[in-house]
Amino acid sequence: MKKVPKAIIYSILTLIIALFPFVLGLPKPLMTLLNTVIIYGIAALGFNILLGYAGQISLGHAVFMGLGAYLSVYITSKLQLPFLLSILISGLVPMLIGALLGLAALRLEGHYLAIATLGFGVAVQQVFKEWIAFTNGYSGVRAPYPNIFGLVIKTREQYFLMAVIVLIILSLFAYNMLRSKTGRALIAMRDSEHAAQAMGISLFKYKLIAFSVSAFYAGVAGCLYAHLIRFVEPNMWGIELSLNLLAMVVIGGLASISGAIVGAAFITLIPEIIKNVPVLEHFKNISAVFTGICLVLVIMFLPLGLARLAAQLKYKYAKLFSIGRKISDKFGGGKAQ
Amino acid sequence: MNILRVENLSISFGGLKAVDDLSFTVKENSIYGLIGPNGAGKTTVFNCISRFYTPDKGKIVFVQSTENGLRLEHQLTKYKVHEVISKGLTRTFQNVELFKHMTVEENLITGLHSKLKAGFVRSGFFTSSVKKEEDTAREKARDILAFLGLKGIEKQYAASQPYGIQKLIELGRALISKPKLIILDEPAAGMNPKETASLGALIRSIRDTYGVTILLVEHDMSLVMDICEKICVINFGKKIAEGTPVEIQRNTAVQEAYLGKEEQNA
Repeated sequence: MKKVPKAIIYSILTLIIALFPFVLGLPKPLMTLLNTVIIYGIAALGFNILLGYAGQISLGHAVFMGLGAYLSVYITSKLQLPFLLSILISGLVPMLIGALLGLAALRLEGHYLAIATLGFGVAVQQVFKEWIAFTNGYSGVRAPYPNIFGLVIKTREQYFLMAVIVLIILSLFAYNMLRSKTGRALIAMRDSEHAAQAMGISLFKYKLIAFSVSAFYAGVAGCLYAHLIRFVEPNMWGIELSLNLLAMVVIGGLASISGAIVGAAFITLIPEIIKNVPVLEHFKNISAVFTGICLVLVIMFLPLGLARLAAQLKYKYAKLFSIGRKISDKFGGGKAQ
Repeated sequence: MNILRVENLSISFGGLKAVDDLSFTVKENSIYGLIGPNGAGKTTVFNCISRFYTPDKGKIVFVQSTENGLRLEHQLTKYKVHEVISKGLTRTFQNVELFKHMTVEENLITGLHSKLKAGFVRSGFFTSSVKKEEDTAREKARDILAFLGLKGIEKQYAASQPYGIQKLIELGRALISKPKLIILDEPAAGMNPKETASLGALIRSIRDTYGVTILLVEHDMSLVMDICEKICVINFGKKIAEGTPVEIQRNTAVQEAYLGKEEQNA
């Protein structure tokens, strides 16, 4: 029998899980939440290509989501073009602008790149606020329901299925890209720029690729977010979201596709769970505090992130276990005679 | 036939002349050593050839023999760092520069970067041509690993290997793109005499098996004297001697550079 690749098995399993809400009949707020997990998962996945694989930082990635959101609203409601086309354009335009940001990365490194991208994020958010013709400023714009070949996606369950399909396609794309020439070039660049160059890797080319691909993912996520919430306004795309993306990737696991999705789920679900804890619910912003603590704990104790939890624990406690086994063997707890 | 010609190379950092009007030529299929006391400018020359530095003056000509017997002369100074490898010239680093978070096999395949054609979109869809390319690349990596005697560690992480093995992996990564000239930056650094001796044998067998020319920048005299056919000695950025190992050992200028001048007795 031919071996089925793991990636295909995971994709099919995810797809089956995406069908569950149709039968389970979950409440609408919960469905909205699950949708946002998937959408942030897409954005975090793109961000992980940039941060985890290519080792480049961006603290303004939220505006690529914002750009995708506004573009999609404009394309579907003003230009009356099909939704599928608008998903694509909402990815491609941020991709081009991402490449421009990548040019900055050629000159800047580490902290300086972080500051520059932060500035970029703030500046573009300001453009969202001021460019009334395109964004309607603080009043925001309303987004229509997605319409795919005449099928109008109105329910949260349908939307969830659509978002999961997009996530699967983009995960497979990332998985394939990262395990071949491009992925190796990105990792090589992160691990040693000198050696990467000596092996023929153009830093110029691959920094631009890293920034533009991750901006594409963010743009697509923004488009999906806009049509889910059906409203877009400038304050959604601030520094908090950019930092949340960073937290998702670090907590979930740097340089890991599943890590991005686990991280997105963690960051999105934690505030909702805390809201329902009896004592904690009275503290304002307790979820931000909690996220911060988790971030510190993960960096200190699980630097590879939650997605690789098992492997890390195994490694950490391997010694402990082996000592434990020796003791139990000694005292007859081992194999029976 | 020469494969590399360095002509009147000069470079200075601030006021310091690191390399001063240096010329030498490397014959095809030879093992050529570049030696000199600490701070003589060896690594600077090396970095000029591999294009990490741009010389102030002088020419670096690399002669590429193509498959149909043509000989192309490349002015290396015209190329960018990452373009050099596609001309048939690769290097290793003084302090092993492996990609730590990749497996041994991936490290080697990264050495093939300039030969692989898949762009990022085609890679993303993993078309059949990409798959084929990846498979052949993996095979090549396994061949090289077998040659280096490193079978069985393909899937292990490069960072988890001992230092000596990491050096071999780096050699393999330089070798996999089938270069015509490999420049090695202090390959014997941090090795004991026994390891150094076997490294010497390996370098020779790489030259013989793959038909590459080797340019060696080295501190370890035993290795240089053992394997190099011709040696160029530099001090304070200037060439002070060139010749066979025996000639170099007898050369008084070299002895002075390394051991100091004998006091003139009245």
